[in-house]
Amino acid sequence: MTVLAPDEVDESELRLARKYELWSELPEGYREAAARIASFQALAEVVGVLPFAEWIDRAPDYSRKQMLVAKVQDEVGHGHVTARVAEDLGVPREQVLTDFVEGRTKLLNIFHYGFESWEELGPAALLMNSSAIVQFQALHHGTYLPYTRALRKIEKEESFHYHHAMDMTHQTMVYGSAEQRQRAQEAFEIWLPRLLAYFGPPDSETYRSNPMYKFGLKVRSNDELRQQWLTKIIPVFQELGIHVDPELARFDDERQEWDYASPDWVETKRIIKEGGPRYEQWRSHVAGSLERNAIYREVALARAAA
Amino acid sequence: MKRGGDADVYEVFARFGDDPQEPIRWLGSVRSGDPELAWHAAKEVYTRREDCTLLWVAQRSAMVVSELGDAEALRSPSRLGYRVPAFPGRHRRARTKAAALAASEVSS
Repeated sequence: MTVLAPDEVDESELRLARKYELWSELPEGYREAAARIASFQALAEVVGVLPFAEWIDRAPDYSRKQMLVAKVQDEVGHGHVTARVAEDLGVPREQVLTDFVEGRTKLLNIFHYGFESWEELGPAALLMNSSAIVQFQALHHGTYLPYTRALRKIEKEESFHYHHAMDMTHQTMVYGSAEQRQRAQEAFEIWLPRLLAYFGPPDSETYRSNPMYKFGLKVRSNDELRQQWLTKIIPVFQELGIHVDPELARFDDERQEWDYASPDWVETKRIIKEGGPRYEQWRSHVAGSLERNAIYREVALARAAA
Repeated sequence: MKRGGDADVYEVFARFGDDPQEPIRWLGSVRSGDPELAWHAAKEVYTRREDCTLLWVAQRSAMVVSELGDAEALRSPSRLGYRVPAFPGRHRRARTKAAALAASEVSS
């Protein structure tokens, strides 16, 4: 497999060359597919922020707290812009949340967890942000322009989150105690398989006939993205002083691709279906927020209608 | 053309950086029950990194926007060929050529 950089995309490839606006004539099934991507991301942005939000009060210094608040606000903003894309395609933003609260939409595996220690945040966030960046760099070449326009804004902010996460990990690895460094090391080992699973199951023989792929809404295959991500992120962790066990991830010079410990797919599926350790907490948090804010939404909508 | 949709959707336009010649860009939209709140929502969502020097919001339902069917009417050079610089040039060359041809006919 040749590993391309995430932004090396041949846009003349037929399925990616034709671009669409909200007002374009869309191929059969395209609208629903684009709405699914946008609403799924809107939910991921809003729920994905909750594990970070609960650490704002516990940030060890003021500037760290400022950066963490900025990150949380950014992610909620990403939720807003992707929800707007979904709304224009016919999925109201309330539905994005109520589908989740009432169990109709499943969460990606990585959003079912929380952080057990401050030292866990840096490595976990670094793994998450780098994988998001690799995904977005590819999706940037997708065919639905309102969505790629939204990504333009999102990518700039993700770059800050990435550097913030790297800085947090660096602080632990350079100035932390042996015990703190150990926690960062463990965080890397716990989160790496989760992120490997986040990219989705290995490519099937037929992934090119997947409608999302044919529409150019999915730009790269799961395995391509996973390889690109490992190429980008593993050296970063090594540079930070994290030991990368070759059993977990190792570059095969001959095949020019990464070997990695296969994630536990059975467990991943179970978590997504039945809920991971913090699923219920995030779900009830969103439910509570929807209920608490109902009156404001009603007033705003009544005012818009007046 | 048609009138834009939902009354609580505001399209967001901004200019970034200090160059006043820089065109104003369309960024996306926000939803709000009130125009001033829409402006604040746009500020919070869309101006988080680059230095924004100008921010406008416009209620989508108050906008008149082109549709697919307007494409032909909007395409100026192909519809109004006589307005492009090459047209008078061609016009002049054709005239010169006709005059030369007439002159050669007279002399022969």
